Amino acid sequence: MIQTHKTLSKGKIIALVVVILVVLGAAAYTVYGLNNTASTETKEASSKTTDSIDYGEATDEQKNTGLDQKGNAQSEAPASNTNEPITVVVTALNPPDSTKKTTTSEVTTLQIRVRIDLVTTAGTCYLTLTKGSTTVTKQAGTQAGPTTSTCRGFDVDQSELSLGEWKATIEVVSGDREGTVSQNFTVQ
Amino acid sequence: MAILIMNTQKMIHTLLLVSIFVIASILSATLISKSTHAAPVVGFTPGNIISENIFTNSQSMTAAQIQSFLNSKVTACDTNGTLRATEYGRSDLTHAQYAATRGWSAPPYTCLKDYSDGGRVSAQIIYDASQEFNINPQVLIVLLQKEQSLVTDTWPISIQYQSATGYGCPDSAACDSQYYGLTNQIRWAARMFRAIMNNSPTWYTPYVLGNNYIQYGVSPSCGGSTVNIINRSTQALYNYTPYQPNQDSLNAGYGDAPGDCDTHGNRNFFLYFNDWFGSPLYGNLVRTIENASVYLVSGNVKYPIADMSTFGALYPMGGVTFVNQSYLDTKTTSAVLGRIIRSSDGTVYFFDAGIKLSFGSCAQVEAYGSSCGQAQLLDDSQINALTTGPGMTSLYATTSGKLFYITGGEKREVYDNTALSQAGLSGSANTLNEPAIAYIPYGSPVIRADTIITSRQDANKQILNSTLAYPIRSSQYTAQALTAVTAKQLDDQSIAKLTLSTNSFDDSFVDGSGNIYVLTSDGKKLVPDPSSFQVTPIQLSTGIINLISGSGALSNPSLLKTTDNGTVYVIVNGQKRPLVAMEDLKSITGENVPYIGWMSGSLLGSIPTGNIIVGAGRMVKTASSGTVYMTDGYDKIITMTSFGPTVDMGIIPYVRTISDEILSRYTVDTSGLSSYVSCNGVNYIGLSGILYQLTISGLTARVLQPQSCNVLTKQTTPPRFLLAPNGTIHELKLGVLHPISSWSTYLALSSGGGSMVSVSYATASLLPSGAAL
Repeated sequence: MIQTHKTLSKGKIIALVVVILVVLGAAAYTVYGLNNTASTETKEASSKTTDSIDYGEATDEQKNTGLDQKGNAQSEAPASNTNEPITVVVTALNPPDSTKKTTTSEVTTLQIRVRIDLVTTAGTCYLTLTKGSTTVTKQAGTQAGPTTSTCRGFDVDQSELSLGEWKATIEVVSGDREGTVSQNFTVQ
Repeated sequence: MAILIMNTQKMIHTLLLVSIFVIASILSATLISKSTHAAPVVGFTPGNIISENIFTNSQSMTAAQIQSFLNSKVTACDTNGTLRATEYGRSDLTHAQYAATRGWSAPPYTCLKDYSDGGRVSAQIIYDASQEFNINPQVLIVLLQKEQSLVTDTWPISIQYQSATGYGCPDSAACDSQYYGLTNQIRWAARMFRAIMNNSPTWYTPYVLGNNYIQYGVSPSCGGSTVNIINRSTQALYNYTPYQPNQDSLNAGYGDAPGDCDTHGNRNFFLYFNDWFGSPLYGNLVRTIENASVYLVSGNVKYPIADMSTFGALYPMGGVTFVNQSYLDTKTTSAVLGRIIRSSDGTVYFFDAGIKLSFGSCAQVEAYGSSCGQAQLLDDSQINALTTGPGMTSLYATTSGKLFYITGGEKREVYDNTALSQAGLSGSANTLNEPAIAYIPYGSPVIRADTIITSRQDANKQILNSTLAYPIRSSQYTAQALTAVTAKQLDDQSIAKLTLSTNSFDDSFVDGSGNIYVLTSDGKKLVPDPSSFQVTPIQLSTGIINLISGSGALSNPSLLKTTDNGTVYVIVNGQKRPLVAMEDLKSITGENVPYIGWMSGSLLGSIPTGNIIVGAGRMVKTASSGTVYMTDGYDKIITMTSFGPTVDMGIIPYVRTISDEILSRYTVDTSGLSSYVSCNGVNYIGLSGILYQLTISGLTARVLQPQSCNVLTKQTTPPRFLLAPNGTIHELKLGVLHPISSWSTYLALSSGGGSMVSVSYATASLLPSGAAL
């Protein structure tokens, strides 16, 4: 027993340690190399310049990204049945600007667009523009999009607006629900 | 020892265990890392997710190709739901069992590649919608994947088909049943895309081309930013997913980012499209594999790109995408793409180097050789892809260092800012590439007088005298004399627009007063006797003459030589006459060291060569004859009968031998020579080698040529006493010789002063005799 143990010389111990370290190093290199390869491949793919079609099998990333989406759209109940306020966001408000002139014309229209977080064609949008005691009002229906809606407007001619600071208020009504958003702008 | 051995053994075991643990840890970490790691998304621009041309490339795939593509993404469909739901962490359940736990539909599950609706397979439904609405089927494929994972799902449940493209499914609410069904979903999506691409007046969208506020997530608390949407295809995508990915979402690649503001829709659209079909950001510039012609596709029009310069100027529109000929055939071929384009709002631009510069008026567009109506209409997305630069100006500077004034459909090259200022055309300029205005023909350049214009192409120079340009015949001293004259380069096409003289500027010119100048090694020199040259040089303005270096005048007559020949020429009567010896110079000009002009141009060569000038006031003979002559001026020789007069006048007592041929060109005067001569209208008498001013009553003096006079010594006051060869001393009073009868008388007279010189018999005989003293 003692003799058996004696056969494990100091040199063999050192050799074993060296082997283990080599294995560790190889493992570390493998990990590092794999990660780097994956990263590089993705970046290169992002810079493709031709319309080559990939007929290869989908990657795990491509498959797994959609797992959460399965069943997301299962409810058949229309969203407009709740009584929560409608979220309305001004996505674009481009006032007329006489200082911006094209070669053939001037920018003479106030352009207001909103995002309505509700898919509906039955809503009504009310636009109120105020400047001091001056008020301009417009009304439009709603346009349903894939996931949101928008007002079927608004483009307001500059002739209806004097120069200066204005406030735009858009109120959206759909059934019992409504939502409002306001934003200031300058006509120059 | 035993303990030591036992410890060693333990140590080995420990090392092995540690090693295994570490390796296991690394490998497991690797697996975890592989499952969650993703490289950040590169190249995603929220305002430009996909180009319009790619978005509308309905010919990108056939129905068969779509089918093949769908087949490739799902190799085995779990129709019966028997495979384990490991992807949901429930390897203990089959897909069917897992679906039951979630309330999802039961098998059979039909993968997209096999799915049919209304008698058509999904590939055909996709293809048909793409053709009906002229939308790239690849866009619809990616839409199906990013909304419901239908392309890669091996066991899709029925509700995934009901809302296959997510149409009618708000992010914060349930879906609307009126849009259900694969065909319905795909067609609604394609219809909306087409309406937006057409900017349909009946289809309102929350987003516009230009600045839009777009949130990072569903909740307003996620924040957002202003996004400049540059094309309608990107505008259309935001109608589907009205959010932009935040940086965390982009950093996560295909993965999830922490927090509640991680929106995937547009990010995943970009990733899937990029990975499966190539970059979605190209497609403006297209060609087929078979034909190298490149086109810029705008809407239904394709503009051929005629040159690399235009191609390079369009670099913001991306690289060239290879397309099928059938796609190209759907586009109307327009004229070659020029540099003047317009957007849908009527703004007309000039473009170069990826920059668009708006014209201020249609008149300005016409100045650049086009018109507002002729400006080529591009998609607004393409206009927007070009960086907005300053407004166009009439002045166009090039990166190659030129400056043009653009007017009337011509480009007038500007000599320099001074010329521009003198023409009243000063202003600001945009610096752009010269090839961009290669289409504009050259007009007359904007120049100024009294300058030198050098050709850029062959370095030939012209000197500009007012509006007339003289080609410069370059030579050593010409170039040297013109160093103070401003010299700038113009293109040959500009020079061709100048009024060019058929005469060259060489080494002589005349001013408005008829003064002739020649260019010597010392610069310009005035010719004292212009008539002697009998040439008609080009006329230059006083302004430019003043700029030519040099001052002073040539000798009279002018002495000139060339740089490559030692012969000095005397310019006389329209001839250049070689001088025989330098000691004759004084006879020519009257100066001991007259100025000799060194010339490098062609003037001397153009003047005919005359007879050699031996030198005036010289005695010459030929080898064939003993007759001795005195040269008088340039062209005459006087036959000498004795040496007396020449001695009295001070002619050098050396007889030069010349050839008969040279002698034959002289006019021989045989009337004889006396020492009573006239130089420049003044009469002289030669006495002991000096001419004394004296008029002899009743005797006509021989008129000598000025050149002969030049070599003779002259004094105004004659000597008082003359010693004749016979020893008689005479007093010379008022031109009359009075013999002095005695030495004492001479002493008495000379006490009052007066010098005495010898006089020859011949000269003494010329003077009248008076009463003896």
